[in-house]
Amino acid sequence: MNRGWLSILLMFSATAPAFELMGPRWPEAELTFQFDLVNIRGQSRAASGQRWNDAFIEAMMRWNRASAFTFNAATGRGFDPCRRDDINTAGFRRDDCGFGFGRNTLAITSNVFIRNVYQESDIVFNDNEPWDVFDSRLSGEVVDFTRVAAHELGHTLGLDHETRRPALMQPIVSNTTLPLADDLNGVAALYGAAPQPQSDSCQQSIELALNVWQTGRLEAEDCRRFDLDIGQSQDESAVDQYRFTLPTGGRVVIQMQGLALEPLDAFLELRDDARQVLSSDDDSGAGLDAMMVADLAAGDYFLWANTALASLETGEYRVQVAIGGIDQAASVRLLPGNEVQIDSVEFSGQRYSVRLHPFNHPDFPDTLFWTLGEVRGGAPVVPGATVLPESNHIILHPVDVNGQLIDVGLRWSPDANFPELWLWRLNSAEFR
Amino acid sequence: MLRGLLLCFLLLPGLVQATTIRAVDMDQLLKHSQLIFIGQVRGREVLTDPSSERLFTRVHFAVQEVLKGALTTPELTLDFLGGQQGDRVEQVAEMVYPYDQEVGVYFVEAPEQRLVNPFYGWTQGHFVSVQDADGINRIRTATGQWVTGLDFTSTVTASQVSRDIAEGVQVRAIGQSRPAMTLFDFKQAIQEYLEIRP
Repeated sequence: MNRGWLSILLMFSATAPAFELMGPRWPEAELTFQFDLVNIRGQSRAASGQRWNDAFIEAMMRWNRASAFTFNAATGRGFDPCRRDDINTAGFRRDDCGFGFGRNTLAITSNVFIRNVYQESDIVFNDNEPWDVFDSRLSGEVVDFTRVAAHELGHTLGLDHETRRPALMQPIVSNTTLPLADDLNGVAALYGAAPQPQSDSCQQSIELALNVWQTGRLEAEDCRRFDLDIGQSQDESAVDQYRFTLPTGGRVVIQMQGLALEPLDAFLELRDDARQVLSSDDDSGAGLDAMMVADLAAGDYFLWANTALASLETGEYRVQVAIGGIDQAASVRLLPGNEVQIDSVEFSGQRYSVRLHPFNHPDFPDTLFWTLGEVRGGAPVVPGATVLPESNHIILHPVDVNGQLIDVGLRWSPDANFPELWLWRLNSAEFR
Repeated sequence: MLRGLLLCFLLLPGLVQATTIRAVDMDQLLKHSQLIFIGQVRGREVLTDPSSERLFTRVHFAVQEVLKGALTTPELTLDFLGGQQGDRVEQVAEMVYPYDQEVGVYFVEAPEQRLVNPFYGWTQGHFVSVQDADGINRIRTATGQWVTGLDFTSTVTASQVSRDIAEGVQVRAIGQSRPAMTLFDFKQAIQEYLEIRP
């Protein structure tokens, strides 16, 4: 360690920050990476279908959005990360320029600097490892390329590992996918203060009409809980903010439903017009869906559509605020012989009256199945059931079983042996 | 027996650590290191790799005792990617180079191969012995935390990535006065485990 490096470390340790710096910095708060990421097998996309280039750019954007530093991407031509050519690049390799990775190395960032000023940065990803691109929690051997790339880019910036506070630069690759406050303080110490992370866009909300399903998508570009709860949260989950007005007081039923086959773990938060939390819910709907019943006065309210996980979870969902709520919802009744009568079910925006017939599946004698029976036009009332558009799963909310209300989820279960039947099996049932 | 499972130690502070490294546990560390030795750094030099023109640091060790594996000479040379030549520094994030005259216990992944970092799991396979005021050699991790014990039953998951210290290496928490493991105890714990699980 040379004296300049040491003096910088001492200078920062005197102010007792948690972040750790490697010493040098770039002369400008802007850097271009030139790359065309293709693995050794010639694949430009991960198993998930996402291009490696796009994933690397997303990793850059995670720093760009939150800090004063700007990474630029120049794609279309790959360069050799082993060459010292003043080109900053990234690539997959089976070794690191003649040096083997060994059993445990996933990726390596090497920076060249002269007198504490960086000249070049190269990132090499170990192509012997199973990479993919995903936002969900880590599990198994496969590693998420984007969050490792974002971590490596932190080293490019001059950040070292942080072990004392939550940070993307923690040495443990975890469910943290974005630069956190400690990381950003480190970048600010090197390159100046960042714009306020809570941008105006995080104050904006979407108007939500009553009794209408609003479809949305939680994604990486959304405001995050740590943007909205500044200083109080390390929660990286995305938030869509809605605003609705109740013309009169009364009972409302608010629902958030994931729409993908692997749905979001939906989380709803109801806030008053000063954005103070009134109520929240995680799993009161069917499966992982959120639902809350509240008696509210007339006025303006905010609704945060969020996920239960503290890490980023993306995906389609829909949300609805229904006035009148369950008292006015069309009924769902379990009839003798296990027939199910749904007076109003919503499917692709239309309302139907549906009868489901029980079905004895020869391969699954212990599982309850239903087939689609009679279908008629339904009344334009708050539906008692919903068919999820992407999965055909049915959510009954709730079904009346001898006077007891049960939230039920039916899983769409097509069977090649019965191609003519629309089949659902019982997936979840919870007493309300 | 308890000593065989739980021991204590020390280490020296290093600079930084390695980029993104999978976590290893003590069992993996002992099983997959082809060579484990106690030695002292006798010299370092920074050279340029002729094919890639990249800098690497060559470290010369005097081997004092081999705990696993075989060596034909009491000297060993290991190369580490990166280094400093004049003003020019090629910095490999998280790399901790053994310092001159350092005494340590080193877990070498494959001495015949040229790896970015030859220590198994980078800093996880790198321990430093430091003499205390009473002249007793105690063990620290490569990142400077005093080692107070070894737990060979701790395991890592496949998705876990290194926190610089191998799983099962117990380090002294802030404010604790528990003494660090001596070099002797550290060595004995490793030898005992290798006898059980060669």
